[in-house]
Amino acid sequence: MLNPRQMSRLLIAASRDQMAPVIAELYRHNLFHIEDYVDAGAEGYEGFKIGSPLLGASEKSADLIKIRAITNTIAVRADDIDAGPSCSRDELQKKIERDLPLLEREVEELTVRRSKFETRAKDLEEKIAEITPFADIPVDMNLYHGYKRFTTSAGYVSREVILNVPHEMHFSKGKDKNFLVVIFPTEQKSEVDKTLAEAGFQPVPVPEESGSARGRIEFYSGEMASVHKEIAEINKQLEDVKQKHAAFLVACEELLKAEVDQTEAPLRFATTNQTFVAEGWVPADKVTAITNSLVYVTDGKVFVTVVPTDPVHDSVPVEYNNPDFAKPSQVLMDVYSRPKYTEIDPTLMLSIVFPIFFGLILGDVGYGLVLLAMAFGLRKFLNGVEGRYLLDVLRNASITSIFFGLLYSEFLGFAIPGLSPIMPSRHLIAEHGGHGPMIPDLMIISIWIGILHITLGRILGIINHAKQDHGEHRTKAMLANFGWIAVMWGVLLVIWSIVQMPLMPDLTALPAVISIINVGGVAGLILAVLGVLLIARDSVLEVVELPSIISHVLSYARIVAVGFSSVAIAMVINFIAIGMLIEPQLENFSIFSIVIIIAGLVVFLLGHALNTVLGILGGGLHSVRLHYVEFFTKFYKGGGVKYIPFGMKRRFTED
Amino acid sequence: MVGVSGISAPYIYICTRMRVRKTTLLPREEYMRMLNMSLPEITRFIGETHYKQEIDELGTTFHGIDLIEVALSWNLAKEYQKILEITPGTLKQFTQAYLRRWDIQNVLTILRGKMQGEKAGKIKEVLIPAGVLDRLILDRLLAEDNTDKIVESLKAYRMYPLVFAREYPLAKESGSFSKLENALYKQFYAEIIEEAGSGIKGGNLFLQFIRLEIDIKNMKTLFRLRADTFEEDAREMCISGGTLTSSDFVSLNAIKNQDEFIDLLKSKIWHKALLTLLEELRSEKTIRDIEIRLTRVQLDQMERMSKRHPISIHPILVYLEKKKYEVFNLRALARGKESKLPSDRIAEYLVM
Amino acid sequence: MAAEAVVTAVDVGMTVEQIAATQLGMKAMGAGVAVGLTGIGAGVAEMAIGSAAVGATAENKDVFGLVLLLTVIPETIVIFGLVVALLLLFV
Repeated sequence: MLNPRQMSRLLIAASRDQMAPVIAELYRHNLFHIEDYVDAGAEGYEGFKIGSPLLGASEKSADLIKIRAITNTIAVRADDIDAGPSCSRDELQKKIERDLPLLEREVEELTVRRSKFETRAKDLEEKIAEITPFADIPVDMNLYHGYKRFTTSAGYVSREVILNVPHEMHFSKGKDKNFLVVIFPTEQKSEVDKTLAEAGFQPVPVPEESGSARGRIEFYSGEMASVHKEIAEINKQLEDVKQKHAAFLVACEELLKAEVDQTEAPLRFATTNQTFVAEGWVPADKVTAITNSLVYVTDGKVFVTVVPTDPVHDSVPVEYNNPDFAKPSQVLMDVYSRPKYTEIDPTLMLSIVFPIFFGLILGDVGYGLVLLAMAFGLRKFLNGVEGRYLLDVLRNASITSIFFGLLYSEFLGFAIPGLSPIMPSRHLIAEHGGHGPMIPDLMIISIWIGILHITLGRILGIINHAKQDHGEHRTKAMLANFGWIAVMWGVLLVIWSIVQMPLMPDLTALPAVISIINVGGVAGLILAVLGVLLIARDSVLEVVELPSIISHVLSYARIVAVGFSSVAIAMVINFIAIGMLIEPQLENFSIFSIVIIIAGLVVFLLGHALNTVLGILGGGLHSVRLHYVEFFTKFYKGGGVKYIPFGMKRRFTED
Repeated sequence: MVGVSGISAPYIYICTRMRVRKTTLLPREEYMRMLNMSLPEITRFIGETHYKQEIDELGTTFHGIDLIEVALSWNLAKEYQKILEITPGTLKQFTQAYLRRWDIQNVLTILRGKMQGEKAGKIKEVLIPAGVLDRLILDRLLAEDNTDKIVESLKAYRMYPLVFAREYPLAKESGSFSKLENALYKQFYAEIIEEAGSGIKGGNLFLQFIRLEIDIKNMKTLFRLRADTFEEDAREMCISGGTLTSSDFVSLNAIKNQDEFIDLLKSKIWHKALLTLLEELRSEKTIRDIEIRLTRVQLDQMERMSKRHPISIHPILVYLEKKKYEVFNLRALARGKESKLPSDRIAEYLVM
Repeated sequence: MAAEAVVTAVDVGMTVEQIAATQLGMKAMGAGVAVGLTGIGAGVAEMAIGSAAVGATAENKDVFGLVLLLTVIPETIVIFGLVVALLLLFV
């Protein structure tokens, strides 16, 4: 439970002709995590090389490329298609041979035609764009070109231009820039260019057209429309192809992907001319089953053995091993980092403590109910395993929010009538004749939580070092972790012996030793000094980190602070919506009041919607952060390799 | 928006992005595996990485080696253009200056292709529109009838007009564009150095990067000149601005003895990694081997520079360079497979 | 201290209620300053981390959770500010 699933390292060796059946069998089991063979002259692997793909890999890859190209063109996604009746392999194989070339040709023809039309459309667009500036000049465009001794310039200018060479000029005033066409003798080009440049001339090409500009634009627009119609027609045909062949295509993809995976598996094995060796990991309880079936398919011509492992140095793949209720929290673990094989897997603790923190922060029956509804409502839209898990996490968190909401007596920031808070109150205004917010009590509760959480983290740190380290370092590291606990509790003892605080033990009454230091204080000091010595013995530099004890414990005060700010926002919304807008209007009701009351309702709904979002972010992020930063840093390293078994979950095909 | 440390948020953003993106490039093991694959398998394999979009889109129109070649070019161009889009401020200016080399390459490809009477479609396949001249402009150039008109229309795009005016008539006369190419690259580097040295913030770091590149390029030229049998004017081949001056270059080129050559070269260079490499190059090696080793040192050195200046132009340029070599590698791999070369021969061409 | 304050206040002609009100106002201002300044501090600190975080996430979505956390680390500062403010106002 607190450890990942037990893995065994399996070594499979056989002659090369057994490669295909062995691979097929491993693929079927979907349990063997292949340790990729890297050509690095590893010990015991002299003379081995990376294997070559099995026969047929090339053709299947080519088919796969085609299928992916087609599915891409007609926009088919495997996720959008329900797993229908699955086809058998032979059936599909036949269909691939028969139908795929035809289908490919059909789609190819359509796309080639479509891209031709698209190029045409682009050309037309460009032409229209070229002519558009000329639309305001009422001159036949024939007159712009075809001269031997004259040049035509057209473009935008910032102001009107006066040329002192013989010329013909058309000028049209625009909103922010003016357009000009000028025809002049070619030999005076440099002069004209100079004058134009002074007016900020930005040239545009003169289109080789004839007839009126507006007429040409209309003509091209008409052509454009017919091109677009053609494109639409082709798209419709592609859509038909999609309707007809989508299921076939996704099944093909899956089949070919599986086959390519298998034919290319030798690229991950070590081979010689005659033999091959595959190494990898399987769950310890599956070793016998896999060994037996491998022996069976090869008629005993295979050597399978469990290799002794060194869990610290081998990169053992990690598969979680958690009870069902803790599984959703694996998402939060993966976000940080998967545990190492030798480490304690804190998923279980996370799955219990995270919702408690969330509930303590949000703690409101109303918001809790909204979140609960969301957790169930969003289930329709999220299909992936991870999405589901996240919603489960949200569900658990919203249930604890409701629970703590009852303890705090809060409903959308209001006090629940007739229910006085069992936890210290977070209400800004005194109700039920009780007090206002009991900040000191809440603070001390959150600090207690911090102290206990961090102590637990350090204890886990001791256990992890005991599991992972060896020799002298092991003892030192374990004692250093104990040292951190000692310093923290020592300081606490000293504080308790000096000041009296609510919800904390009072040691001030113990017999005094020197001035304000009493017996408890002395005990605390001894403990703290011992702790510092133990830490320093492991690593002197760590002593610099000592103040982090205070900042980490105080960091848990965010449970109160963030929660309290959320209550404050809710109360402000209620005050604006009800106290300022709705109530006064209800007292002196008039027609106009309806508008104000509606405005009040809008403020109420929007405000609380916003606060719900803030509640999820605040409650979620801060709870997660307390785990990642304050808790995990005490014992958790992470960085484990994910367990990815060789094989696939088939949705559309049969094996 | 300048933060307390004088480094603005967009700079941090882009530099982090490039560093993360660099980790997604194909690692050595994958090349080793691909060496054992056939062409369709390689195509499919890279179609499952960040080349997916191109392979899937082009899969219906191209096949075999064409598919992978076009997909690689498109991907590289897209990648470069996208990076240019998200790069802010002076970093954008530097990146743009750096990417101009693709303009030179594209224009020369078009000119050479036209000269040899290649079809426009065939030339288009090998263009990498990653510079200022985008796909549209290149299409327009391709549509021109002859090289004269292409050079004429280039005038509109600030494509080193002086160099073209000086070198193009000569090139046309001799029928070889290699002198023009040299002149263009020299002008390219001269302009970059001028831009980097013009006192813009961060220009110094950019200059460091370019200097290293020029040094490596000059050294490659020197080694190639030694390997080639025919004589060329060494002074013209040298790109100035790096550690080697053009007189160094000429005197180096004049030395025939390998040991003396290496000794002199070592006395001119101060990069530690280069010195060690030069020591190794004393024994005769093939020119290809030398070039790949030099490239590797260059990339390592650039990597080191980008670690030293994490928020500068370096992370961006390192990524651009590494991405370029990834595409070169894949192309070499695909061509090698197409012409049925044995795997270990292909491996010699890869920069890993 | 308080007695001295009352004495000086009486010297300048303030009633005890006025003094109480001034003290309350000072407390509120202190609370405001505590939250406001720590908020600015956290914001400045988060700027650089945040832009790096967005950059990293744009390239690799897997790191989203991790960088989100890195981004919120400086906000402990503002939590401390909030705690101080609450203690000022309600204790």
